[in-house]
Amino acid sequence: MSTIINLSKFFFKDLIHRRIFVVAAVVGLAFIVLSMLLGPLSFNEEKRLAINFSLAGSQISLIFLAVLVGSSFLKSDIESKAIHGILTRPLSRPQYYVSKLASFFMCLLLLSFLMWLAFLLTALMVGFDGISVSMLPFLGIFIEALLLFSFAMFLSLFTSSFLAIGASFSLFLVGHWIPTFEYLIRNSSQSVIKLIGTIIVWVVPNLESFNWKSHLTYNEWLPVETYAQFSAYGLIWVLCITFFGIFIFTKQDFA
Amino acid sequence: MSTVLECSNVTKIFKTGFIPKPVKALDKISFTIPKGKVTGFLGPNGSGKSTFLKVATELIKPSEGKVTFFGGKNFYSVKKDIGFVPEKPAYPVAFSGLEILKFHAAFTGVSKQRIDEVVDLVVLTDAIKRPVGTYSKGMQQRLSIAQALLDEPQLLILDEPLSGLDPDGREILINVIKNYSEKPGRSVFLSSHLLEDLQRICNNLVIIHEGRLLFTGDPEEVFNPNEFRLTIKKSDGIKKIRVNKDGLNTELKKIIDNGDDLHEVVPQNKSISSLYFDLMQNDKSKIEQKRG
Ligand SMILES: Nc1ncnc2c1ncn2[C@@H]1O[C@H](COP(=O)(O)OP(=O)(O)OP(=O)(O)O)[C@@H](O)[C@H]1O
Ligand SMILES: [Mg+2]
Repeated sequence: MSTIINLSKFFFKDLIHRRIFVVAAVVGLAFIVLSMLLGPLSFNEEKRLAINFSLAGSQISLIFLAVLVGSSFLKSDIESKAIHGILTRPLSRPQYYVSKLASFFMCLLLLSFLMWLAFLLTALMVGFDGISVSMLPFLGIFIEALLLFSFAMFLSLFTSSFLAIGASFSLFLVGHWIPTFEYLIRNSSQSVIKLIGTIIVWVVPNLESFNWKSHLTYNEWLPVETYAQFSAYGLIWVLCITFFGIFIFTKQDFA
Repeated sequence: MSTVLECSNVTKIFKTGFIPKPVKALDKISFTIPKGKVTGFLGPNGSGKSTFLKVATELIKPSEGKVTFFGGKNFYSVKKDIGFVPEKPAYPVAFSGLEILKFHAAFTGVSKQRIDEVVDLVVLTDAIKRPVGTYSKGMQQRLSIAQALLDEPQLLILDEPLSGLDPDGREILINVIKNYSEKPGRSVFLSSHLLEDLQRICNNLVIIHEGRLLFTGDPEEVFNPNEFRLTIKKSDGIKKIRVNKDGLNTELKKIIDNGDDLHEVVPQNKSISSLYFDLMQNDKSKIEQKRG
């Protein structure tokens, strides 16, 4: 355990020194604060728009961060051969892989928390009364970003960074269309479409399950257990992808 | 004599490209490294030295054969006792040298005092708090050696530690390696494609060429010059002649008998290419003997 903590701390420091981390943090926070401050808040509809915009901003910045970092975080160690100096130390390859994930987990947690804080403070400042200050939408974004990060890192083991980025954004798009596919399966008369739809629904995580932005915008919430279930669903996906990643990583040659 | 490294039949075939083209980097290599010696690993560019060291440190898997340490243990189980300096040490550029060393020290609980010690050893004290991104190649190399020395390992493995360094840098590193190996029981295995480097520090030698083992044993056997250049002052001027080892005595006797003045005797080292050539000829005739 102390090995993983040591590695994670090191990778975390490496991560927050990267320009992309600063850019994502600044862009995300600016988006949140500006859209809340600039939205004319006298009408309900416009208030909602401002909230929605603000949440979308933090989602976009964190998803970009996850995909871009995921596709290069481990890959750059392999390409620069920095990995030779670390893997020959008293640690195992799974420990190395898990620590990469854990360090991004910490980084994402920090940013999601900061974004929630910024959201809360600006909401209070502009006098949003009656609005929920729930962290839940930020938790949803957090889980989605973590899932995309683990997917991008997994892909970067055997494809170029470029392909890993492309595939991860495709997963993001398709993952958000899952409800549409489910609708198609139910209502289409063509069996081919039903089959394709079913396959996609099975192999692609339903990213709409983490989209809790509108719950806050309309202040209409689901039962707590539902959020717990969705969170568990996301974390199981992360675990599965990580499991396959470790499987491949332990078999790889680092020439 | 006990050994620190044993390998048997190590073969590595790389498959690269979309339609895999096999490249045989190592071909059935077997040898052992005795404990307490500084072993040089000599071979021209592309002969498979780095590939072998990567197989040994489990960075890549051999296609066949295996490498073991300290009497049959695999690398993973003895990582704590082995310091490794890779061919191209690389670090995240934003960290300082000290942060890197602290990170490595934490794996085995190395003390702060030991960190200061190794920094002094490799003469990095002035730069140790600067970001690694600002280090020169030689400084990165020295940092990597400092890191490898942290745990006071039994065995130090270095892949071309002297390549690309200026004379001062080489001098520092050669001294570090010499000092390290002076304590009893410690062993060093270092690769190089330069004979002169190894000549200065090694008391054991392994030579490979195109992935095949050419020689293991006492460096004297290959370094020992077979030829001498004699400069003789005769009454009618200066004369330079070359004689081989066997003829040396007769030649010296002749000079004394003639009453000439012997000015200089310079041993003529073999050039590295003729060394490889001779060893390869040797190797071929051995193979033919076996076949015959
Ligand atoms: N990842 C790889 N894929 C394909 N071939 C490789 C790979 N790594 C090394 N080789 C080949 O294996 C052979 C040995 O290479 P290696 O790097 O081990 O040589 P070396 O003795 O360390 O050379 P140098 O003195 O230049 O460092 C070379 O022919 C090289 O092209
Ligand atoms: Mg090499």
